[in-house]
Order: sequence, then structure tokens, then C-alpha cells
Amino acid sequence: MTSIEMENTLSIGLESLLNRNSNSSTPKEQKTAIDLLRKNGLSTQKDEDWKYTNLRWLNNHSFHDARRVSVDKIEQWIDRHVLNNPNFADLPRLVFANGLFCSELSTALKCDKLNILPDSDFFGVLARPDREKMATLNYAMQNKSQIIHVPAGTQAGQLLIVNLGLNESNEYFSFHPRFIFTLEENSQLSIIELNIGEGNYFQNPLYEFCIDSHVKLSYMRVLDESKTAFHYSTLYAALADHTKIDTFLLTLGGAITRQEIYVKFLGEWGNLQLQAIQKLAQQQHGDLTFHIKHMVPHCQSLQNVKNILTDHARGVYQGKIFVDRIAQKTDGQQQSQALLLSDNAEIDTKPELEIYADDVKCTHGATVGALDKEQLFFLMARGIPHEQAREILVNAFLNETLEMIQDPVNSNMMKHYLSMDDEEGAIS
Amino acid sequence: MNNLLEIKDLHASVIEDSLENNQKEILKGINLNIPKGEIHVIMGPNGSGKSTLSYVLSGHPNYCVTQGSAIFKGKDLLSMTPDQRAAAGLFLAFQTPVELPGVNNVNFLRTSLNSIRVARGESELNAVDFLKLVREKAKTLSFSMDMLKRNVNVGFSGGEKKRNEVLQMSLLQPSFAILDETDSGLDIDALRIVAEGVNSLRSPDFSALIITHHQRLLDYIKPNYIHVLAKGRIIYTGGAELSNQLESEGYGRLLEEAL
Repeated sequence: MTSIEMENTLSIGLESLLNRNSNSSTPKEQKTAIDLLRKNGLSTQKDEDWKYTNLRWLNNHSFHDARRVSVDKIEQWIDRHVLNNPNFADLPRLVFANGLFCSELSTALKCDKLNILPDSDFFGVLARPDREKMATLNYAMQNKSQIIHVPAGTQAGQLLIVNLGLNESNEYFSFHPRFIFTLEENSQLSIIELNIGEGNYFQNPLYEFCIDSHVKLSYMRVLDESKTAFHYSTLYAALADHTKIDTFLLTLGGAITRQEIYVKFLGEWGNLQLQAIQKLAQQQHGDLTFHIKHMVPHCQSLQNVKNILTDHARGVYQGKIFVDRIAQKTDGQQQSQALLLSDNAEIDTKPELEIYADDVKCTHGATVGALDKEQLFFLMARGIPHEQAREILVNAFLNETLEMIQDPVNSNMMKHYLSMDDEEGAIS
Repeated sequence: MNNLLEIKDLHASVIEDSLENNQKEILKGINLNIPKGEIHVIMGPNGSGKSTLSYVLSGHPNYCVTQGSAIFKGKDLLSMTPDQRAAAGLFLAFQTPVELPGVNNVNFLRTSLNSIRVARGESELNAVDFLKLVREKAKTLSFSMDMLKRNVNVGFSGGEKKRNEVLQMSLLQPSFAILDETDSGLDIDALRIVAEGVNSLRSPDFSALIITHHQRLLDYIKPNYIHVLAKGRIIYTGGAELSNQLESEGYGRLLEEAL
């Protein structure tokens, strides 16, 4: 058998997952997903979208139900990562540990601008059990949703979501949380999501964003998972007219990560900015797969992805823009820039345009490069040691993207995670 | 004699196409002593190796020394990394200063100064003290606050880039500065500002090696010696008056006599 055929048969890992949920009381959607996975397995490298990222590691592990973490233990992490950070300390927050809701530390429950429905039986409306395989897996493993609802006309401000993965044992845990965000018309929400953790785990979250007319949403996701963690997430968003969505993904930690995002413009004059930075080292692998569907006229989407890769790290960016026949005056852009800091680092970039309308503006560009030798020498000739000079040039590469974040809290947070905290010497 | 820099029989090649075996020898046995407190000038035809000498002394990775030595303050200069040379007091004003998009000029200047202070065992300057210092220096060089706030050399005119080099020099207070055609492309006012920047550093503890094609800079900075570099060797050394002679006669006669 070839390795691809091996992947087709049910792997040890997938079997250990599916066997956890085979009682008769499972809901219909969950049962459908389990049956589909038993029949077809997960994605393989034969699937076009999975050419650069595989799931072979699933064969190496059995996955166990994640254990509940004590509130004391979670509190230590919250102290260190939230309360110690002036950007986060005062934000209303929702805390999850190993995919389980921790109501004791979730201060957002008291926030009157948000309706939070933890552990709801509602499956959502955008995802389906029979399409993207990592979403199918989420369906197979999970029958509860975490619902965050913003009522019409509400300026809900900021919300911090902490997804903690903690495992002190040598075996692998898996958890498959599902988040459903519904923003009613004329509302606003700014989400900061931290994915942090320690030990061996596989996180497989599913996100749904139902965005109504004239909504403003900002969504910042930091992926700083444990060094041995796997993170495969799927996000679906449906946008009504006059929506303004700013998304920023930062990938720092995790052994193998893949973040899939599927956005559909369903109302005119929508605007989506999708920025991402991946800073990876050692053997890390980070995949960003974005599909933007323009189904109506006059919408704008921008994808801007930067990879900084060192050692044997590998970055993957697959960006697709689909423009329907009726979606005239679409403005779709995608830009991928990669900085390779070692001879062994690798970037795979695949831009795709599928356009059926004739009056649109769609562009894509990709660059790959190393640090400029002359710039490096100039900095060193001014007394700056090699490592620091290199860091200055890497940060300069990132600055362009960070400057596009308008909210100072969000911008400070991203700089903090990239160890680029503002120099006090800057002239304002 | 109290030499700051002693260069003996220096041979150096440029590494082309980053292939080590593809080397072209440019410097073919340079001998030059620069005592403390003196200003020396190097003139010479295009392609004679003037810029190569400045790059080799400051440690550019594209050049490799094949023979000879350079002793700076009693230490082997050629074994030091470029940042160690800067910390030891050497400063190169670049012929074509590089642009650094995304790097704020003030942050760069402060990082540079503090790196050198730390390497010398001094304490770092805090933001307030640094800003005071940089504002004062910028003022004497007619360097606007706007140019300090911008990214390093991005969108600067040729003259502004050169003045930025002189600003860096006056901040870092080197004991030995190499000015590689810092005067080229400058108008008369900018030339005077650059010259004043150099003259303000003049002291018994400051030396400089000025590479230039023009006599005009030397109207403002009086050198102790002028050396003529041709085909990788110093073929003639004279006093300050030599520049007038070269200006009227060119290099022809010296080259004929030497070769």
C-alpha cells in the first residue's frame, strides 16, 4: 500500500476518536458525520486543498477525551496571560480549558451587552457535516455549541476568549469546541481570542459567524499553542450588506496548525480584511487556507499574508477568491510575502482566482525572499550585533502589516506577542 | 609614533556571485599608518580600490582579505565583526546609504548608540536623555524632526541621506571615521554642513580617512596628508597642497611615474 492509500483506511487516530462517540443517543448531525468519516475517512494529499498539509500524524497517536482542568490551575494561566497583561486585564472574557467552558472565570457572563449561551444543543446554520473534513470531525465529536449573541444596535465593545489546552500526561487529548457568533444588524463586537497551552493535545474547533447588515466586527486570533499541539480549525462566515470585518490571525505556537476560513458575501457593500502573520521555527508547520466567495456586487476583500520562517519551518498559504456571475464591481485582492531565514525553511503559496463576472478588480501577488545583506551590514556597521540586526529587519517586514491594525489595543497585543513592544523612544 | 591604525601589505578581493573561488583581487598591498588626531585623504581614479578599502576596514562580508594586516588601537581589526569594529570606535559613512523601510530613524539611532555604549561597558541612554541629545545634534546639522520620525533614509534625497550619515557619526562619536565620498552629490550648503560635522569632532583623539574626488571638501577640512590610490596601491603621498595640483593636472603624471 502507498502512503496515500494508508491514509484512506481508517487510521488508528481517527478510529480512537470515533469510538468515543458511538452511543445511540447521538443527534442526527453527529451521526451523519460519524458515518461519513467511517466510510470516507479524513482528507488525504490526493485532495487538492490538502496537497501541502497532511494528517499522517493522526496515525501515530490514540486520542483520549480531554480531562477537565481544575479552576485553580486555569486561574494560574489566566493570572499569567491575562491579568498580567494591561491590554487584557479589564476585558470581559470567556474561558475554555480543554474545550470545556469554565463559568467561574468567565466574567463576560455578567456583561449585559452580550447574550452568552454556553453548551447549547443548537448545531448552527453555516457549517455542514458533509463538506470540509475538519468540520465533519468537529460534528462527529461535538454536540454542544457555545453561542455568543450581540443584539441589534448594540456596541458590545471588546471580548476576550481564552482557549486553553492543558495536558500533563504523555497521551494525547483531543477537544472539538464549537463557537457560534450571531451579530444582529447595526451591532459591533471586537474579539480577541488566545489559544495557549501546554502538553500534548489536538484542538479541532469550529466557528460560525452570522453577520447581519451594518455590523462592525474585529476578530484577532492568536495561535500560541503548546509546542506539541495540533490545531485544525474551520471558520465559516456569512456577511450581510454593509458589513465591515477586520480579521487578524497570528500563528506562533503549535507543532502543526491549519486554519481554514470560508467567507461568503451575501449582501452588497461588504468589506473584509483578512490579515495573517505566521512566525514559525524548528519543525513547525502552519497552513492558512482561505476561501472568499463574492456572491453579490460591490464587495471588497483583502487577504494579506506574511510568513517568517526559520530552521525547518514550513508555511502554507492557499487563498482563493471566487466571484459569482452577478458579483460585478468586486474588489478582491490577495498578497503573500514570505521571509525565509534559513536554507531549509519552505513556503508553499497557492493563489487562486475563479471569476465569472466581467467587471471586477482582482489581484494577487506573491514574493519570497531572504534578509537583505546590505541592510544587515549597515546595521552591524552601526554597532548593532547580528542577532539584533536580524530582528530589526524581521520586525520591519512585519510593521507594514501591523500598521494596518487601527485599534491601539489590538495593535499593542499583536506587538506584544511578536515581542515588538513599542520602544519608549519613539517620537510621537 | 602613536598610530591609531596601521595597515600593512593589505591584499583583498571581492567575492563575486557569492562563490568563494570566484575572487578578483582589488587591493594589492596597501601600506598606510594613521596617527591619532590626523586626517588623511585618499584620492584616485575610479576603480582604484578606494571604496573596497573602506569596506574591508569596516568588515563587509563581500570582501575577503588574502594577505596583510590592519591593527586598530593595537588590536587585530580584521578578526572583528562589523559591530565589534563599530564598538571599538570605527565609523564608516556610506557612499550610498541603504534604505530601511519599516525601521523608524529615531529608534534606529537609539538602538545603534545604546549597542555601542553597552559594548563599551557604559549604561544605555534612556528615551528622554536620548531625545534631548538627538534633537541637539540634529539642529546643528539642519536635520528636521520630520526626517527623524521617518523610516531610515526612505524618501530621503541624496543630500539628506548623507546628512543622516553625518548625524549618526556625531551621535556615535567615533575615534576613527571613514568617509566614503560623503561629499559627492552635495550642494554647497550641504557640503559645508558635512564639513562642519567632521570638524566638530576634530580633537587629538579623533582621526579620519576621507575618500573624495573633489578638492572642494578640502577647502573646509584641512587634511594632514593626501594619498593617491591607483590599481590597488598607494602610489603617492603628499601634503594638503597636493589636492590643488591634482585638480589642475589630473592623475596622469603620477600614474606614469608610478607604473
